[in-house]
Amino acid sequence: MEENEHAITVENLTKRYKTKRGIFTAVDNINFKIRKGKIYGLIGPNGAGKTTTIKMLVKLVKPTSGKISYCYKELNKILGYVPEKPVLYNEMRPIEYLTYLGKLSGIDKGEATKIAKHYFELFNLKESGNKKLATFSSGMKQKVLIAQALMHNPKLLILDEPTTALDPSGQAQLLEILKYLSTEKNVTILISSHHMEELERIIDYVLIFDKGKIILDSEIEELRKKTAEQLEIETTNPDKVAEIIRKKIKINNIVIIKNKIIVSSNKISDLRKEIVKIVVESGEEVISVHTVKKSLWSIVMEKLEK
Amino acid sequence: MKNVLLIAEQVFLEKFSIKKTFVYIFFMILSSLLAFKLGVGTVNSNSFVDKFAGLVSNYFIIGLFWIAGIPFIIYIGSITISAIAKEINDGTAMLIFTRPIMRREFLLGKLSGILAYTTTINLVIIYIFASMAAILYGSDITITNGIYRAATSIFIYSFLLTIFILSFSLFLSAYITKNIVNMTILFVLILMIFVMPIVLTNTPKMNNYQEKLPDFAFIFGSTAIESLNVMGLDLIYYNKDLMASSIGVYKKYYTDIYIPQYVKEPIRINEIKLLPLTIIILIISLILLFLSYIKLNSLEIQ
Repeated sequence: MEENEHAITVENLTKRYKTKRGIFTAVDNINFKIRKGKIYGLIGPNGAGKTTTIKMLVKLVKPTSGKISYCYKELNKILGYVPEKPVLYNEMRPIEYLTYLGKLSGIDKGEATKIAKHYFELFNLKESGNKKLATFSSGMKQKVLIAQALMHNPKLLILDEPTTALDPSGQAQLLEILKYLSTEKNVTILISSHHMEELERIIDYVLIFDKGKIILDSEIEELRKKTAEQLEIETTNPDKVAEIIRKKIKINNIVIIKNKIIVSSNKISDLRKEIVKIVVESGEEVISVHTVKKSLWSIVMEKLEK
Repeated sequence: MKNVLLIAEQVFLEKFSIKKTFVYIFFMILSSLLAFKLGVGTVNSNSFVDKFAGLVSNYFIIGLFWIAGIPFIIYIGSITISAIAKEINDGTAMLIFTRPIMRREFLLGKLSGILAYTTTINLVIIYIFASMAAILYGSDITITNGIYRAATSIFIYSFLLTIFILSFSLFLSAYITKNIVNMTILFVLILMIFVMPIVLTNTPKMNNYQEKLPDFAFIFGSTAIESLNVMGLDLIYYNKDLMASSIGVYKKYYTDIYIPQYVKEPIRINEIKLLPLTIIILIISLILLFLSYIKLNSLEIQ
């Protein structure tokens, strides 16, 4: 891949804070590259280093060591940023607020007002009326925050936990917009979240953070190819059935959840018939049998548990 | 420059939309008129007809002192002290600093917006008060022109004071994020400027201090009196006891400072050295702003 196809290159990035208990390493020597026009999911539990990394990327926090290179000459002109907290001027009204931030991004007043009204309608903020932002619900505030980041048609969009306060329809709408921006407008997008399920549909790459380190940096399709399939067998006697499968097929990756047995293997489609046959021959009652693809979230959880 | 104006405009409009601005303006005009009225009433009750103009003029100045003094500093301090700290604490600065805005533009925008706001309200208060005083009492005491000249002097004084307090408050706001700490420091500064000289004025030490270091109030008082003097008004009939009966804390400080010196020999505006003082205030303010900028530039927003 050509170097100029990378929107951001992060090398040996570290951030340490001095605390009362000593030095705390929030981000520990991480390296990654962000390709232009792609959507990256930054996944990880609380305190994993996602927000600190994002704040270093948007230059709100200075790295202790390491280097961040951008392919853009003036980052702040092409950056759209949605912070983790709903940081709004509560005394302002949404259109006034969006117009103001639009003007600060270099858009003239008339155009900024026009764009502000567009997003006001797009995000169904009309129903809240043009009241002061202080009176808005957390979901509404989040929509205003997202709108402000889109006001100036950014080339790089960085969103920190943008879906947390949104209802399911709001989440779906946001993900749709992000997918459109990435595919149609070639916008590079970084989006962080605790959970992967909601991002799975749109992200091209995933970076999994844990304890300040990146434990997985992968293209999502590559990850899917590597994922094991699972066979879910619902039975009245799961313990006995599990024992039979272990003995006869010699698969140890078996988990029992309530009355379900979950058998994981890369060759599950080949073994499916044999497993079902053995279980039926054993005389145990089988309620249902399903083959399921292991979710990306379960892969993340496995990585984190390791 | 465009960004500075954008931020200044937003600050200006935001402050004016707050109801307490109008409460403050109303309160200041009313209390100043009351101080003025007290002066007129005291004079009448003692039948000092020949001293009338001079004495009322002094009460007028006291009224203006009230406007441009402690309450004004507290007011501008309280709205400025959180200007940067609040944006950092609330996180609203995040969305400014991730836009094509230099941090110095942010600082200058805040300064300009608050300065425009405080200057406007002080202009309104001082000239409404002066006009009301002139309408209510001007025809009797023939000091109408003097009133406006004195008001202008006080306005210039308060403008200088505003620049200094704004810079100082922004400086505090950039370095200390806790409002309570900032307000305490500001309160101590107010004590130093206004109250300490009153308390210490009778001590030899303080007298020496006053002789060596003429302060804002001294300059201001002298300038205002000089303005009235230019109009041919005679202030030598000043009566300290009458002043003391109606004015309270200001009595010793201001009377002791400017009246005795005036009685001996009128102080000329050019002797006050207003220009060097202005330059000193501006230099100190610039240093404070520069230090604020250094801090703001290195500030990380968590």
